[in-house]
Amino acid sequence: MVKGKKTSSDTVSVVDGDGEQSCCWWWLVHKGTTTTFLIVGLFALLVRAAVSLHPYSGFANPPKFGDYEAQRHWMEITINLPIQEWYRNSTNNDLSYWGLDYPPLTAYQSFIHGLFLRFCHPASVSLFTSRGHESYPGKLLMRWTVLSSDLLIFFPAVLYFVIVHYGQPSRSRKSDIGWHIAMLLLNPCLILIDHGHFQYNCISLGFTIGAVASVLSGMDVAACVLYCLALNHKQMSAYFAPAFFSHLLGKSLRHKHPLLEVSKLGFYVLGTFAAVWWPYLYSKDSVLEVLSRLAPFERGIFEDYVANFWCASSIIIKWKRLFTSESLRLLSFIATVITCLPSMIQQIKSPSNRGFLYGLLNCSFAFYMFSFQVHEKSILLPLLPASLLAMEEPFIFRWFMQFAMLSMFPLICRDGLVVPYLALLALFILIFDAPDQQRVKESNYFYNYLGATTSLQLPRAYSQSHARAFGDSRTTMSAPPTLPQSTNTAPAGAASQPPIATPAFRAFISRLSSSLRQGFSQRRPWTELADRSSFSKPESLTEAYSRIRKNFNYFRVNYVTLIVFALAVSLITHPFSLLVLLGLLASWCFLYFFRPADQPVILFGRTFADRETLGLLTVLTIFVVFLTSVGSLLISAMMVGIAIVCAHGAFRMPEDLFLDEQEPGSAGFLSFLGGAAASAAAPVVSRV
Amino acid sequence: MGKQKISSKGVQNSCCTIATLWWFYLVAACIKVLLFPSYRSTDFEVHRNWLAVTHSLPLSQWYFDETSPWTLDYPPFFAHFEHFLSMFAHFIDPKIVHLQEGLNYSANTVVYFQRGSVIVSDLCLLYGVYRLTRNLDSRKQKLIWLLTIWSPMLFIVDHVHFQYNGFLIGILLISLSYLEEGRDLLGGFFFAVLLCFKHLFAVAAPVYFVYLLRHYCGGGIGRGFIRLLIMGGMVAAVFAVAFGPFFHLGQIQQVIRRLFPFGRGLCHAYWAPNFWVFYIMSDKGLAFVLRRLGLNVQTPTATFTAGLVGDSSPFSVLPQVTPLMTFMMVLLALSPCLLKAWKNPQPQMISRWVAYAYTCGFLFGWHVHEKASLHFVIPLAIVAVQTLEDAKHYFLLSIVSCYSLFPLLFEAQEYPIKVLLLLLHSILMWSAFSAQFPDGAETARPHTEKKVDRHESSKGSFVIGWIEKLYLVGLVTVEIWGQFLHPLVLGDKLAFAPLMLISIYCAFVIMYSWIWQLTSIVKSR
Repeated sequence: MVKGKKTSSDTVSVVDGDGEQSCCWWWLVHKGTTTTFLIVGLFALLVRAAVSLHPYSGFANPPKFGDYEAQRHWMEITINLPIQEWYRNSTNNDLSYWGLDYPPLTAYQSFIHGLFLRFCHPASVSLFTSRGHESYPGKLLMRWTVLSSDLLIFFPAVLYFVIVHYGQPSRSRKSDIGWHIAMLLLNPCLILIDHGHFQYNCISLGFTIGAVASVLSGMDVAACVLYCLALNHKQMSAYFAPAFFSHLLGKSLRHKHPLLEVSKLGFYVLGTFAAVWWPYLYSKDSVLEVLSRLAPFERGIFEDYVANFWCASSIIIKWKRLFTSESLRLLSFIATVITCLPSMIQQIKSPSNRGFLYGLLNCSFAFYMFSFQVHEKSILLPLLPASLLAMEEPFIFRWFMQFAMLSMFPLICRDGLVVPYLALLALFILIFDAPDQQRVKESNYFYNYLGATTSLQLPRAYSQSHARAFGDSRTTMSAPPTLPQSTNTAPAGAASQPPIATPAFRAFISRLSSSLRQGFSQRRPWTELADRSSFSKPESLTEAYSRIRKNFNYFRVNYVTLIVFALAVSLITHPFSLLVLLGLLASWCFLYFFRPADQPVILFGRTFADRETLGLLTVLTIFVVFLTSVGSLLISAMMVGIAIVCAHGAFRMPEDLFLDEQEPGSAGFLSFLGGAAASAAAPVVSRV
Repeated sequence: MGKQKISSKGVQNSCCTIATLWWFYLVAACIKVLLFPSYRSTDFEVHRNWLAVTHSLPLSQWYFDETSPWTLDYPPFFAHFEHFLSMFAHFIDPKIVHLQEGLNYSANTVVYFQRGSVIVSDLCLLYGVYRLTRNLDSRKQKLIWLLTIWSPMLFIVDHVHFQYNGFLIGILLISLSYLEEGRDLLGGFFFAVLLCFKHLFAVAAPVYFVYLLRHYCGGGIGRGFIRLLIMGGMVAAVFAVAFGPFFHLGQIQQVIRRLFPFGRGLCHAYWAPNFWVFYIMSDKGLAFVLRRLGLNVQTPTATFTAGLVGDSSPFSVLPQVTPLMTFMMVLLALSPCLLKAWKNPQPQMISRWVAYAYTCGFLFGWHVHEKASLHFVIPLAIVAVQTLEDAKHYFLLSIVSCYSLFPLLFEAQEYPIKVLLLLLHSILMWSAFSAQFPDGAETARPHTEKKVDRHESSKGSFVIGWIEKLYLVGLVTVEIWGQFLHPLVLGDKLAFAPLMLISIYCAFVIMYSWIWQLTSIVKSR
C-alpha cells in the first residue's frame, strides 16, 4: 500500500520528492503514519517505563501515604468486598481511609487490576493487612498496571485520532504528523502524573481522545459511548461536556430528523450510563450513595495552590472569607457557564471539526479556571485539547505546557520527582524544537497573524502617526524642522508642542542619572565578589538561604548589575525583541507618562481618553510580554541572572562581610524608581 | 539541477549539523537521566571505590589499597580520570570519596553524581562520532548518530549497569577518525592514550602496529626509519607518562599483576556468546556420548569460570585451554587481516580492521565479558551505512549483541526497559536502513539515483531475508522460553539453562558476523 502511494506521487512532482528526501526526519517517517506511530509510541513507552522507576506520591510516608495507596486500597476493597459495598461505609470498608470517590468504571478498573495483583503478589491486596503495603514487587506490578492501561487505551486512541485527523497525508506532512504524535504521546504532565505521581488519567483521557476522534470521523454514537465511559471513569471529564453537548446538538439539529437524532444519542448515553451503573440501580439510595461520594462540594473552592482564577485572585480578594460556600458555588457555576457559552453557541450554530476542537479547549479551560474545587492535576484536562491542537497552535501549546508544568512543580516536589520533571521538560522542549523544522515558524497561525500584526503593525501605526510628531519636536529642539509634513495624518496639535520637554520627563531623567550614579557608587569591589578563598558549600538549604539573604544585602548593587548585564546580553543578542521592547517603552513614555496633560491622544482621527489609552497600553504590554518571544526572553534572562546570583550567594561565605554603615533599606539602587514614579505620577494625578 | 540542490543542501546542513548532533545527544541524555534510579551492578561500587582510593590515597598507594574487594585494576590514566572526578565528588558530598565510610554508599548524591559523570563523559563519544561523520552526507550522518549515540547497548551497559564505555569508545573513534583522515601520528597517539585508559582495547594493537608501520612508516628506508622513531617515541612517551611514576616507585610489577589477573577462568560467570561456548558444549556432548558408549569419562571438578586451579581441567574430553592458546588463536584469526593491512594499508579500511580485531578478541579471548561486544559493534556502525550488505549484517549483529546483554539486567524492574530499548533500536534501524537503501521504485527516481550509484553494491532494497527472520523469531522464542515458560515448566531445576541458551543462540550470529567480516576483508581490493 505504501509502495503504491509512493509511485503514484512520483508522477506528481519530482521537486516535491526531493524536498522530502532532504527532510531531516525522512528516515523516521517515510514508512507512513502507522510505522511512525509505532516508533514514537515505543519511545514514549520507554520514557514512561523509565519514569516509573522513580518514587510515587506518598512513598514511605505513613499514615495516609498518597494517591498510590489510594489506588492500591481501591483494588483491595474491590476484590475483597461485594460490589454493593464498594461505596458504602462499613466495618470492612472505612471510607475515611481513601474511600472510593470516582465513578464505577474506576472501581471496575481497580477490580481488574486487583485481580492481576492478587494473582502475582497476593500480599499487596489482602484485606486490612495490606494497608500501606509497599514492596518492590508491589510497586512494580502497580506501575505495570498503569503502563498497560496507557498502552491499551491511550495509545490506540491517539493513533485513531491521528489517522482520522490527517486522513491520507500528503508526503510532505509526514514529519509534521510524526511531530504531532510525539507531542500527544510525550505530554510531560500526563507522564509525570500517571507514571510518577501515580494515577490512571490515561484511561479517561484516552476515552476522551477516542470520543473526539469518533466525532471527527462522524461516528457520533461511538463518540457518545466513549465519552460516557470517560465520564464514568473520572467525573472530571465533565470539563469537556459542554463542547461535546453543543457540537453533537448542533450536528443533530442539521439532521433531517433532529429530534430523532437527539433522542438516539440520548438513548446511547443513557444506555452506557445504565450499563456502567447497573449494580447500583436496584435502589435509589444506592445510587445516591455513590453520587454523594463523587460530589466534592464539602471541600473548598480550590485546593492547595492551583493555578486558576479563584486561587490566583484570592491573593487580593479573600473569596473564602467574603462568601459562603453556597454563594461561591453559584458564583463559580455562573462564571463557568458564561466562559463556556461563546464556543457552545458557536458550535450549536455552525458545528465544525475545527471549531469542536477549539470548543473543547475553551470549555475545559473555563472549567479549570472558574469551576468549583479544582485540583492542580486537573490541568491535564485543558492540556488535552491543547495538545490535539498542537499543530494549529504550536505557540499557545508550548506556553501552556510550560506553565502547566510550572503549576505542577509543588506537587512534583512533594513526590520527590524533580529529576524526572526536569528531564521530561527538557525532552518536551527538545522534541518541540526538533532541529530542521520549518513548520513551527511557518504555520504558526497565532504568532503570524496576531503576533506579527500587533507587535510590528501596532508600533508602526503608532510611530507613523506620532513618531513624526516626536521626531519633529526633537528636531525643533536642535535644528529647524526639515522633515516634510505628510498630509493624510498628523491631526492638529500633534506637532505644535514638544512633549519631550515636559518637566516630568526632565525630572525623571535627572533623578534617574543621579540615583544611578549614586547607586552604582555603593557597589562592592568586584574582586571581593570573586574572592576564591571565601567560597564553600552550604551545609543545608536553610543555610544557603540565609547566606543568600546576607550576601544579597551586602552585594545588592553588584547583583543587580549582574542581572541587568544578563538581561542586556540576552536582549542585545536578540535585536528583534529589543526593538519590540523599546517600542513598547517608547509608546508608554510618549503616550502616557510624559504626555502633557492638556493634549489628548489622537489616533486615526479619534480622540482617546486617558483611561482608554491606559487600557490599550496595558493590553498591548500584556500581549507583547506574555504572548511573544519577548516575555520568554526576558524571563529566561532574569532566571539565568537570578540563578547566577543565587548560586553565588549560596556558595559565598558571608562571615567576613559587614555593612559599612546602616543604610536605610529603601534607599538602594532602585530607589529612583519610587521617586521617579512619584514625580512622574504628579502630572498624571494633576490630569485626572 | 539535482547536484546543485544537493550541494546547496550540504551548505545548509553543515550549519545545522552540530545542532542536530547535540539534539541527538540531549534526547539521549534525557532518557539517561530518567534511568538514574534503575538497577546498578557492583561496577557502580567499584567505580565509587576508585573515586575514594584515588582521592584519599597518594599515587603510591593506588595499586596497593585493599580496603574494598574492588581494587583498582584499570591502567593509570583511568585512575587519573577517577581522580579528576573525585575532586568534584568531594565538593558534592565528601562521603562519596571517603575510603571507609563511603563503602556501599548509596545516597542520592553519589548516584546522581556518578550517573551524571557517565552522561557528561559521553561527550567524548559525541566528539569522536562528530569527527568521523563530519564529511559525510547528512542522511548517513544521522544514521550513524542513530546507531552510536542512541545505541541501546550503551544505555544498558553504561547507564543502567554502570560503566564508562561510551567515554572509552569515544577515544577509539577519535583515533579512528584521525587515521581515516591520514593523520597517523595523532591516530596512534590517541590509541596509546586509550590503552592507558583500558588495556582490554589492546586486542587491536597488532592491527594498529601493522597499519601504522606500513602506512605511516612507508616510503623509503631512511624516511621510514625516522618516522618509526617518531611514532615509537610518541607511544613510548604516552606510556611513560602513564606508567612512569609507578616505574619510578618500583611498583610496576604490582600494577601489572592488577591489570592482568590470569587467575580467572576461561569464561566469565555468564558466558559471553563466543567460540568457547561451542567448545564447552561439544565437550559436554562428547562426554555424554562417550558415557553412553560405556567409556569411563570423569566428570571434571573445576569450573570454567573459577580459573586454573592446579592442574585439573574443567573439560572431560577435549584438551585444556590455556591463556597462551587463546592468545595464539586470536593472533591466528587476526592474521588474514594483518596480511591485508600489510599489503595495502588503506585508511578507509581501518575501521573495519579494528572492528574485526575486536571481534576476534571477543570470540577467542580469555575470560571475555559479554560487554566487550560493544568494542566492535560501535565501530562497525561507522561502516554499516556504506553498503547494503554492511547494513544487513549490522542489523542482525547489533540486535543479537544487544540481546546478549539482557542477562546483565536481571531484575524485573528493568525488564520492560531493556525490551523496549531493543525493540525501539530494531525498528529505528529498520526504518532508517530502508530509507537509506530504498526499494526499486525509489532508486528509479532521477534525484536519488545520483546518491545511490555512488556505492555500486547497494542495488536492491533493504529487506530482511527469511533466514534472518527465522532467526529473529527464534530469538523471541528463546526469550519467551527463558523468561516465562522455563520457570513454569521446569521450576527451579536447571536454573542456568536459559542463560546458556541465550549465549549459545547469540554465539551463532557472532560467529556468522566474524566469518562475514573475515570474508569481506579478504575479498576487499
